[in-house]
Amino acid sequence: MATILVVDDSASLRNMVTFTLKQEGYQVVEAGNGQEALTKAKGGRFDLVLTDVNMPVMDGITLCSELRKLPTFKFTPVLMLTTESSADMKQQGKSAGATGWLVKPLILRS
Amino acid sequence: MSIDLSQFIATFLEESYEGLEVMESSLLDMDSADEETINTIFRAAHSIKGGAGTFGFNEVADFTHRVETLLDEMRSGKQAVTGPLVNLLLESVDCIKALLESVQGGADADPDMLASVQKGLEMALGRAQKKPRQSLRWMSWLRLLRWRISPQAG
Repeated sequence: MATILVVDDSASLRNMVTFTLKQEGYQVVEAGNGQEALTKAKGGRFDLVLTDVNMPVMDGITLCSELRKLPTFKFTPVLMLTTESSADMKQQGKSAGATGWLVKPLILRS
Repeated sequence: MSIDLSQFIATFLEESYEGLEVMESSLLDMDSADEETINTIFRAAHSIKGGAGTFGFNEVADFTHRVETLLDEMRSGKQAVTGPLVNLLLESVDCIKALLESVQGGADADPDMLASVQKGLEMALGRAQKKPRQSLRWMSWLRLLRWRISPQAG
């Protein structure tokens, strides 16, 4: 079963994303900021990383470029999940090695 | 798959009130503010807006979006950090709090307070983009001059 690392400083959004993914049968590990995510990433194996951009301690863009330095995360898909939709931000994400960009708000459908 | 959102909404409200407290105390301490303080305030507003949008509290999301935009302009240096703007932001915090309370089933937020703060936000946001308008005013002056000159010339 695929394991997903979900990173967001907002507990409500993180819980909701986690809940939804678990309902779909995925295993989920949560982190409240980039630094925490990086620590957890180093200690485990993940099939996908879903991360917010704007976070305290370490933002999602920095997390992404840090992850790309780890051999186990060179090719792991990293999706940015954010309200930022500016081209500049997306470009920053791309340069940091992000795989894709999802813009919040997320609407959950059955 | 049907999802009961209420459990997440409770968390959202809880962290939003915490965020508002952070905004308020940082704004009150703005004299010694550095870049990170403004960033912290921005992030709190950003989270509230994001969550409100996700959970369908559009009034909260729209209002907070303006606050977030203003804070973004302040942290990028497009807007100077002034006393009146800090006051406006403190009033905005009260408005967001009132909007959240009405979402929770409390009394409706005072529409006069909302309207006046919203107007203040619009004005502050407009000010940063005033330059094109300035040139428009110049153009209309020129047009007026030409109009005055041309009848005599004709």
